[in-house]
Amino acid sequence: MKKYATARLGLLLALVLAFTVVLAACGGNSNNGNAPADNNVTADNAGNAGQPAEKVKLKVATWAGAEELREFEELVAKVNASATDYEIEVQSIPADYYQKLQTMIAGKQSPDFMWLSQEYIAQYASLGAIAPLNEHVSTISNYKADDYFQGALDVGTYKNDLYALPWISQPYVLYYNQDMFEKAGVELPTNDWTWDDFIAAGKKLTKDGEWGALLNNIPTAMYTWSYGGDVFDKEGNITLDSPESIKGLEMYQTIVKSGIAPARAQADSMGNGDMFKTGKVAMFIGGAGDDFEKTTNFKIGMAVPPKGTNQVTFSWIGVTAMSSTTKNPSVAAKALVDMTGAIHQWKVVAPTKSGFDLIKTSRPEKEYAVETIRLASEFARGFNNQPKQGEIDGAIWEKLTQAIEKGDDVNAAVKSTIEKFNAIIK
Amino acid sequence: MRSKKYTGYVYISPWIIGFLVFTIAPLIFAFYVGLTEWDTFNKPKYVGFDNYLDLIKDEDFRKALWVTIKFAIISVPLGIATSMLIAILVNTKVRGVYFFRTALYMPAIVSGVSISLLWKWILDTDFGLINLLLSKVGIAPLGWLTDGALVMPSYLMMVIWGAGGGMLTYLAGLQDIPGHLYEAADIDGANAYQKFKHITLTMLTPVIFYNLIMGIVGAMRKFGDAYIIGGAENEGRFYMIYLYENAFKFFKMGYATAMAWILFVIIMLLTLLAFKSSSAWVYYETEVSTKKKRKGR
Repeated sequence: MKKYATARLGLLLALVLAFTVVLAACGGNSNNGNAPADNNVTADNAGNAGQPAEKVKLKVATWAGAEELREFEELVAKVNASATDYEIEVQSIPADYYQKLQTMIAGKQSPDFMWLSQEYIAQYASLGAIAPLNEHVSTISNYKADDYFQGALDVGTYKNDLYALPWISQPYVLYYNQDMFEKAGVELPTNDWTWDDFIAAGKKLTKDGEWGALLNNIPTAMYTWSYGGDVFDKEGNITLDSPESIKGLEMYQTIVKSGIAPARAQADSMGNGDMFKTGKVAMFIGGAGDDFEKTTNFKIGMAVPPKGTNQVTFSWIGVTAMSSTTKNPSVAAKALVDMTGAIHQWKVVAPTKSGFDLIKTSRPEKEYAVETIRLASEFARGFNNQPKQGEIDGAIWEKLTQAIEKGDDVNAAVKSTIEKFNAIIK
Repeated sequence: MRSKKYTGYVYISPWIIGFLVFTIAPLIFAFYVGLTEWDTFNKPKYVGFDNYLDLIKDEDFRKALWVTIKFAIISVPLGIATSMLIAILVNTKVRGVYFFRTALYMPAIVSGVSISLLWKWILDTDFGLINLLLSKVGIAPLGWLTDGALVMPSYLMMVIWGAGGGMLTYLAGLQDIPGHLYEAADIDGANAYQKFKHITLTMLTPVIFYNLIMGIVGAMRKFGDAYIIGGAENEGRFYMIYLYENAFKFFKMGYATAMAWILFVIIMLLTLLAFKSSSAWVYYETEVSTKKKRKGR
């Protein structure tokens, strides 16, 4: 009898143990998040309502850490010093940024502002976590929509409403190793290069242990843009199977098959930028703010990326969005405009026309390329991000990019990608 | 008498309250969440068992489950066998055995993240240690993490490497085996294999059983290293990784919670199976001796 009793007790304990370990994380999160959050909200409300003369306290969440955080804190301190009606506090989340942000928002403890990478904007906007800015910023004198490059402002827009102010827009440009070009007797890249020119030069530069180009950074969507296509159009319709998109994707496959670039896995493991820095590849398409000029010992050149039928490039765009739960949205919007304006004086490349010339002073090594970067900024753009962009990106990588790189039929890959899109969007 | 009984409950109430508030309540809440569509920012929307039905149709879910089960089926016995072997080796009386014990136990005391980063480098196609060694004998570099077929073997390699951590319980089990059993076996003329099978292995079954249960639970819940190391063709996307992605990348907390419940049921069934089978192969010395004592009385 005792044996059975012991076994049963053991069984029960084991079950409880299994139960706890599997679910503690999920259940715990929501519970831990909720309770203290409500208390804080009440406390904050009481503070603001009781003393209207006091500055509105605002929090900005950032993924910045270490040196970047220190610089950002200094910048925010300066903004605070000249502000009369608000005070911004920096909340640094250098690790697991989006996970923590999501938990904070779920726990009704959302920071008033949050840095976002472009693919999160549509998602956060569609879920109501961030607030549309139009009505607030339109009355603010130092907010100048015209000053922003259109592509940067577009990614902050969801369903015709502006949800976020871009603070950086790094257009992708074509860096080249001038020494390698000269040694191989190949003409230097120009701003009117087509993908065919790119392949032709790449072939001449590819030899044992050296490659013509490195493409891993380029998002697959950029090839569709090159020929006037896109993955989704601005209204959110799937256009991946349009003839223009297919043409762009076929060009991508042609480039891969031409053998001018190392295989993705190899380049990833060697560090994409490092391969260019160490003179293993002659051309590298990457962000205009990369620090190659300082870290390489060869002569470096820059041009805009090659084109298909359209001249376009991808841009890495970072934005700050405003929480939909911020208590005083009009003051918060003013703070957001001030803070964003200050970041434009700090981050390279600024997404504004007026912030542009600062490159010469803040990054003197980029002076030779200012006009190229300006040109690229004018036609640079981000994705037409969708509310389920996270899953969509996964589908593009899994069904499209890998299939094209493996040499599978482009049309078939597009078909299976769209099937997956439909399953995600349904 | 009665009041004394209640005093007892008062004493254990901190635990009971903690258990109810931090375990039972979240469990009930989690069960409800599993029946909803919840983006975490807005109120959950009740959808009945739709999440569970969608999961059955979800090819990524099936793939993640298959990867995890495959890993569990191979890694648990592999881990047990390796740990036991190491324990037996370091239980011998040779010079420097303490050094080996310490060295082999090292993986258990190093943080999971640093181990993962270390292995990411070891398995690297171009700069990795393994490919460097292979190149010395003329073997071309293998894509340990970039070739889908090699991802699982890579993770199994890590299991073997970390087996020293499991050694401790076996070592304790081995040292608990009374020497007189071996002496008696020697007198009866048993050979080394017979001694291993009938004494060592039999006496170790409770430890093996414990490691089996913990191994199953651990393998099914694999997350940390896979999160850092990954692996091509979704071969490194274990169940918990996909669960995490749904919860925190795709904003599908209801779906993710439904996954957690399915995982719970799977782990529970496997644990149950192990417990049911245990009477056939697990030998508890204490039970027998208690019985003997009782009989003696």
